[in-house]
Amino acid sequence: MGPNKEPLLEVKNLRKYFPIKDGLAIKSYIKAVDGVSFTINQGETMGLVGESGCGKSTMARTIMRLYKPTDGEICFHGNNLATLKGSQLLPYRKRIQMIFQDPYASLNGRMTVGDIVGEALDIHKLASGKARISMIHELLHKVGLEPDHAIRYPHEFSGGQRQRIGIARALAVSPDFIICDEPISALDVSIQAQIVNMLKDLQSELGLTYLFIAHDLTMVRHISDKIGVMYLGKLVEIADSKTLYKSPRHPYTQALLSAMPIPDPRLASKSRRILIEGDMPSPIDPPLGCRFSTRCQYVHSQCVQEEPKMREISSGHHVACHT
Amino acid sequence: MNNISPDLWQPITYEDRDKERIARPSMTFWQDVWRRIKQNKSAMLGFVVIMVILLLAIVGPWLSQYSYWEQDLSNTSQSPSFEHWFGTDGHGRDLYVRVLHGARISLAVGLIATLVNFVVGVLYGGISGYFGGNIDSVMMRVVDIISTIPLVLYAILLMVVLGPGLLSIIIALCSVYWVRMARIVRGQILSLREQEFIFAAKSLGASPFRILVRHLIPNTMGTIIVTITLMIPEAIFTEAFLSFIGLGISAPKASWGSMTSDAIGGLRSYPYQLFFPGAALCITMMSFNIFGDGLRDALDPRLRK
Amino acid sequence: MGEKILELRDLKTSYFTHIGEVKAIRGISFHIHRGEAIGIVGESGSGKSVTALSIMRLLQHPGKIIGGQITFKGKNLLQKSIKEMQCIRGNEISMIFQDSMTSLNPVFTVGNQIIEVILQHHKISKKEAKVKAVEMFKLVGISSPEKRMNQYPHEFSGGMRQRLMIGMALSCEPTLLIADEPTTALDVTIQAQILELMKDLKKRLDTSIILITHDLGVVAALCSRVVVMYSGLIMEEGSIENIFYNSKHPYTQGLLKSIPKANWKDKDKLISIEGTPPDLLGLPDGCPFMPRCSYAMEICKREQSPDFEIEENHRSMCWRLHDEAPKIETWMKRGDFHGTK
Repeated sequence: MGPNKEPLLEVKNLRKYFPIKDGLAIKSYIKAVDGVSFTINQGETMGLVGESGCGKSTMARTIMRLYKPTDGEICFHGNNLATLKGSQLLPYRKRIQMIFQDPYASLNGRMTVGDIVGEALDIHKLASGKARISMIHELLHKVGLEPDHAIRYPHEFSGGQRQRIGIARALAVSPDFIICDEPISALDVSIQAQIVNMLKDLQSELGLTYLFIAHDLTMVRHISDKIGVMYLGKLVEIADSKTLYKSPRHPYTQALLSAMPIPDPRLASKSRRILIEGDMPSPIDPPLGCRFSTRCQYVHSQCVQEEPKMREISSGHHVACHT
Repeated sequence: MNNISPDLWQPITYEDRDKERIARPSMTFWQDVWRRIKQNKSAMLGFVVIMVILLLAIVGPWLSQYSYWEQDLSNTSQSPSFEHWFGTDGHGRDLYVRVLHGARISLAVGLIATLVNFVVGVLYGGISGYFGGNIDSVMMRVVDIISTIPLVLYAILLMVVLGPGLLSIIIALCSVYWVRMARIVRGQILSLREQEFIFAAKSLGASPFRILVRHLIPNTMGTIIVTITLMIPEAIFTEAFLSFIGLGISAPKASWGSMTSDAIGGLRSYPYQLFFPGAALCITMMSFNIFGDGLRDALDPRLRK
Repeated sequence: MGEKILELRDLKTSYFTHIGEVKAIRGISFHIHRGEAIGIVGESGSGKSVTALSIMRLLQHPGKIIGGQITFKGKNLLQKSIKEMQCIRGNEISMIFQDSMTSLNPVFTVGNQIIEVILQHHKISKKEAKVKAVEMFKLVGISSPEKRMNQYPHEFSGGMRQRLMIGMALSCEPTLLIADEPTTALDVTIQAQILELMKDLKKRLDTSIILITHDLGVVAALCSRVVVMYSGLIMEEGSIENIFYNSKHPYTQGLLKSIPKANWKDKDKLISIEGTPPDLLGLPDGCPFMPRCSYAMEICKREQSPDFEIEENHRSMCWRLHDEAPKIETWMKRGDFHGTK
């Protein structure tokens, strides 16, 4: 089934600032997410790439409404989630789910795998007794685990298995939309492929829509229809994944692509890397003008003074860069 | 290796293999803790002694022909003998029964005070830590204020209002000791609530109460239990101290504190009257402390694989 | 190629836990020449980090080396006393860990810590040590070293700290540098910086490098030889060319297939290795990779295959390399087969 063009999630100008307090007075803000807009269509996967500290996890949690957005809209099926409170969110908890990064910290070590997977069933009163148990077994089966794993505790599993338990937990409420917050970053490469393939299979089986977050571009293209690149709280480039890999326009995207390890010694010895120097500036006090200007090799005077606007350079390909 | 039979070269099907096999036995967190504490000899000794004291305190007084309040003025201040194992006190009461009766009082005070502290402290600290922000600030200032008032002052004030006795001691202990538990629990929860499994529970739609009870508190249980085992001896000692200075249990009820206090006068002539309740107090306190230390080691996550 | 500076022969390391013996390394042999960089590749639990710790003799209780030899510059490291080992560690063999935050003491300035390391291993004055430290900061590409020296570890970013660790490890010009997943915790752009740095330093200082990683892609840029480990055994060893273009072991092939290719086409699906690495406790007989292998045969269940030498410097532990083993067609006929070649 191909992605039909109906938007499922529209994020408009989303901002999340964390106050830094000095006693009772607010001293300044960490601008973790600073005006991000994008749309994800039904059945589609959007990849979101950026290095640690760029605000991608904060954004995921804000869309999930684990954080209250400072500003902006989160439209899910046309309903704005940004302004909802407490129990008003409960119906959406069944439709939007999340898979987490750390397979060790994301499972409660004092609960059995069955209880972890079945928690959503209890909360939303979806099943109880025998039906609950058989649903748990079915969910475990979906992610390639055995029914008798349900009585074990998370610490007995390997990283990849734990991540699959996390996936089963998210699937329990049969959601439409899953935010995958770096689900593979903490795993071995061989297991990463396993998880990516599993997510893809589940997508075609259950018609899911994903927001897939990663910290590099290596795996993202295998699952994403379009990819957004984030830097210091802002999106710098969005394009469908083929275009992004073939003709990246933003210097940061180019650097990210060239930094990818090349699993081919003959090519690796020939290729020239664009190395970007230094580190990402602090989100408390981001540079004026273009946020990448401090590390960009093509920087000129306009970049330092004026913040580049997102503009469409070809159909579906948006870049925020002056050059 | 030249003669390998041809059937060994047969491919095997996927179904024949168990690629998700988990070899190690399933063990819950508490089973693992119990296994580790069993290896700790001194902690186990402490545990056994606590159990023995508990048992003696419960059934001991019934097995004796004497009672703690019956005076036998013809047999005052007898040395330990077959008749009276620990001897008798200045009123001719059997010291063995009185020490065991003291154990009842001490353990009851320790357990009740700790239980109340546990419930109040864990809930208070849990709520404060989970909600954070201004709620946390206000709740913690209240805790700060309570912890500045000395316990003895409390106890004396309560005695004035309620009169001396077991109830006043327990109320005094309960109204102060939970503060420490609340602080410890709050600290733990503050660090736990940023963990991903809490976010996961929130995104499933779990209510704050559920998150607190199902996720946060079970994960702080280790620290809570260690705090409890170390709080019990302290409560026991405080009770003994208050009774010793005459603010606690009144005659004919026996407490280790009041018994040592009674024995001070005749210390030169009848040292055993001080020795037995004193020794009981020491042994109990030591056992709880050693066991608590062992428990802390067994729960230490740095030792966990 | 220079002299062999380190050679492991049939090394065995086990952890004796309360539930039984966990055989982390089950007899591995490999060597490294002067100025050479080799990669040890494997999933978590394959024994690659334990190998590094065994070489450094830094195993924590209940881990123990139970057999084999580690020869460093002609001397057996397993016979060295604790004191002698301390002398070798840092001076001749240095190690970089994955987590650079915990390797630095947060209460001292970075400069102090580096000067201390230099002073421990060189008989020079504090002033000279400071000059050396500044040099080293420059070597690993940290700008304004005089200012940076007076800062604390938390003022450095992850990439900076890892550079610093490399700098510290290299400050005594060791013959051998063991890097245990040095870039796993870092962002790609920083990873690229660190790998460039290590490549550059290898050239300049003629240091031998053992790079431990789970990502074959990282190895390609730096190493000339690769050791592939699985469940405490070396499944395949060969030159980088052999491993990448002519791998013989299904596990190596699986690893290669599960990383995205550089010349990737639109609808290529990743081929992953199914299942999970086996628990090292109570390993069954036979090949540990058997349950996940597309080519598994009855014999794989019974017995671990011996090492087959394919050509010089290329060996692999797989029954399929046996002369009598069936040809690839046997599997191609089967429905559930999803290997290639």
